[in-house]
Amino acid sequence: MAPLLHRWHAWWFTPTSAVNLAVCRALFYTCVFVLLGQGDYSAWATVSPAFWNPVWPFRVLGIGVLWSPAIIHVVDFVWKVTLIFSALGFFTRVSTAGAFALGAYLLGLPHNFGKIHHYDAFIVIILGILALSRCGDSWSLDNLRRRHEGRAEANLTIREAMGVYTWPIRMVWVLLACVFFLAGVAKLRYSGLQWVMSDNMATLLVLHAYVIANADPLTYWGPYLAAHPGAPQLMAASTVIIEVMYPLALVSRVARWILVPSAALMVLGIRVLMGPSFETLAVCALFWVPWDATLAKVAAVVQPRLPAVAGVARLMRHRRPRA
Amino acid sequence: MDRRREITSMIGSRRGAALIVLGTLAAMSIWSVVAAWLVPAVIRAAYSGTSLKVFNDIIEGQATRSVEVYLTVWAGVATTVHLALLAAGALVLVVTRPATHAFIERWRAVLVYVLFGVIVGGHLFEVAIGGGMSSPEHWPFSAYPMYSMTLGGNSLTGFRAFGVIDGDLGDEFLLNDFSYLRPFDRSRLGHALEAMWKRGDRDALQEALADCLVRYERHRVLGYHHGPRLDGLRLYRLTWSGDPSISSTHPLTKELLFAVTSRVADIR
Repeated sequence: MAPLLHRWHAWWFTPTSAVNLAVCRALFYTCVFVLLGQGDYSAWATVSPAFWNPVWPFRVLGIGVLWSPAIIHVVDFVWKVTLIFSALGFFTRVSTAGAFALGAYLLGLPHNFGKIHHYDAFIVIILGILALSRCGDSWSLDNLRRRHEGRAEANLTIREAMGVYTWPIRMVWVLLACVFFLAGVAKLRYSGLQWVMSDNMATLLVLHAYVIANADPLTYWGPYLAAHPGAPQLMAASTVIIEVMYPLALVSRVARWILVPSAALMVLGIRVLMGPSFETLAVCALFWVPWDATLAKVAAVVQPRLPAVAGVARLMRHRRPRA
Repeated sequence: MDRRREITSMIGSRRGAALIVLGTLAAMSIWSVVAAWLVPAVIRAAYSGTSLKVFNDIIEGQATRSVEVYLTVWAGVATTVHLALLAAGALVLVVTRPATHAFIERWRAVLVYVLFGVIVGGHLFEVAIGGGMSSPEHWPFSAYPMYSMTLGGNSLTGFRAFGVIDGDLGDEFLLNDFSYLRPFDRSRLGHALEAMWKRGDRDALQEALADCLVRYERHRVLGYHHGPRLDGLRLYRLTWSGDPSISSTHPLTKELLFAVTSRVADIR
């Protein structure tokens, strides 16, 4: 039992470089700003109350639609500012907390009007995870400011050794594993192997050509693929296998290399062939990338050609063993 | 740098705690004055159209609501803000305590495992109750049951709104483009209308479709889309075929359920 607990603890708090979490922070908040920050949330203030069907947090906390589109505009603007500040690592604690609180409201608001879409719930949870983390300790404007003031993060090395910058990334891994695994389990639970063996996938590919989902498919190849014997069943089998096996990526590096890119491609394939916009799920694959090692390799290749990159290479040399 | 250390040290001390408490009480007091006196005066002036244009434009329902309705809503808002100020002050007080930092440093692992339990436990709870299938989901937790049911009979049924073009022929067309009824996408609108229909809420259905009609016209006037002027809206239950051998892009069946016009609502 003790060795198991030790391995459990080591998995969450293995020493890693703060650069990993920092790059994830910068990329994730940028992607959220680009993919989800362009919507007009203020329009929900003009919708008839007849549509109001609050989801659990809004119902329990008694939160409704803010009183006018102008006020939601202001909240939306502030949220976008927090996303940018979080990406840059500027007043990181406050900006990430604000990004989570305001993001939970704005991203949750549309789900109170008749249907829960599933492409942004995990984004809210990741915003919460990062708000609780020390993602601004490295590669951030906060760190630059501290260095300028002669207050370089003295405890950075100690925290790296304690795995303080590991657990947030592992938590996102666990969340993504939940999302994919439960999606696969749901298919087997409610339909069994019929989901794979029947013409269900072919039917779905054809139906989405009628543009029935929340977004249009990027191509109309769906019906063409549906007409090929075996192709829909192969796609369905691949989908269920990738989803159900996804948790293996938590413990196996080989599985990680196979399943994470496969899942990202699967999600993009859904967008191309059927329409539902799960690009946010594909973007979250960035949390699986060992950025410290990746950037070190890139810097080692580029440095002889570009001396300016030497600074980056020096930074990358001071890294902890990869998880 | 020394000055910053002094400030940080002071915030974490008892004197800092006292300042935070006093600051919170001051903010709540100022808010009480604003909420009880200033804003109600602005609401009354805006209601009668004698305030600034930006405030006058916020209140539009004078024909159907008395000023007391708006003042009651404001009272609720003011109470919420009071509670939010109190919560914010308490949060700042707790977060700035050195004891809090020491607690987090010491119990970090336990707190991480608790968060793990919340995230995984929340999702497993959704699986256990059949969230999204046999019971409502508890967003943001989900069992992700999308597309988990095999389609019966190679077909799919859904609710869709059609616009009736203004004119003698009364032609109709599917309001499928996002620009017509934004912020609703076709999927969310269809599910919302279907839910109202299934629970037999005719009043809600009438109000919802009337709202869609107004929304379409507002977007047409604002230039969000170039659709024709509408005389009414019809709600249909459509059935689409998933048979690849059928090349038609039209639904198999189309059943009229409800209609509203720009003048009178028709109930079927």
